[in-house]
Amino acid sequence: MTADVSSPQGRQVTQREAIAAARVRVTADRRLKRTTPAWIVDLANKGRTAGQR
Amino acid sequence: MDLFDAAGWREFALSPGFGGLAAVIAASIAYAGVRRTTRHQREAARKQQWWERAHWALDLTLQDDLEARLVGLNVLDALAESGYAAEHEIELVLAATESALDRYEDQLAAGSVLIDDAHFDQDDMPGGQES
Repeated sequence: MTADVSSPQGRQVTQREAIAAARVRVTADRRLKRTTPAWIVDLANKGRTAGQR
Repeated sequence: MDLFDAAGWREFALSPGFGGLAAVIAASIAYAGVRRTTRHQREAARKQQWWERAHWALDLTLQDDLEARLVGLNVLDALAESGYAAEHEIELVLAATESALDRYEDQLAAGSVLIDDAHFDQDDMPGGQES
């Protein structure tokens, strides 16, 4: 199911989009030798696990 | 003949052998300079390509179409891995993800995560619920 949901604060972020953004964030933080918040790492890993199904 | 006296050096400096050696050294210096310039030009061109691709990917992340946004984010992920992405470039990539992750975090807190892919089970959701 894919749907665009608008809210006053802006477009709602879907889980797939959040996972893709999390993967970018993890890559960028790794390149900059920064620590990524745990929930973002978990989100990025969730995407990798789902992609292997 | 003592090789290290002044007359010996003068004789060597005027010899064809010295002329040949000087020519080789001059050619080597010129070659190194050309190589360095070429390498810098090639790196500048690659960097320019990186920015053009980043511009394209950033445009995609702002589209209304979800699939386009996903492509944009995946391209940014690849660009962040590139050896041509220095700290400044990676900071730009980070900035592109900030808004989406901030909003998603707010949605998680509010329990209003939008599941948009049949591959994800309800059990996978990080504390939110399907809206």
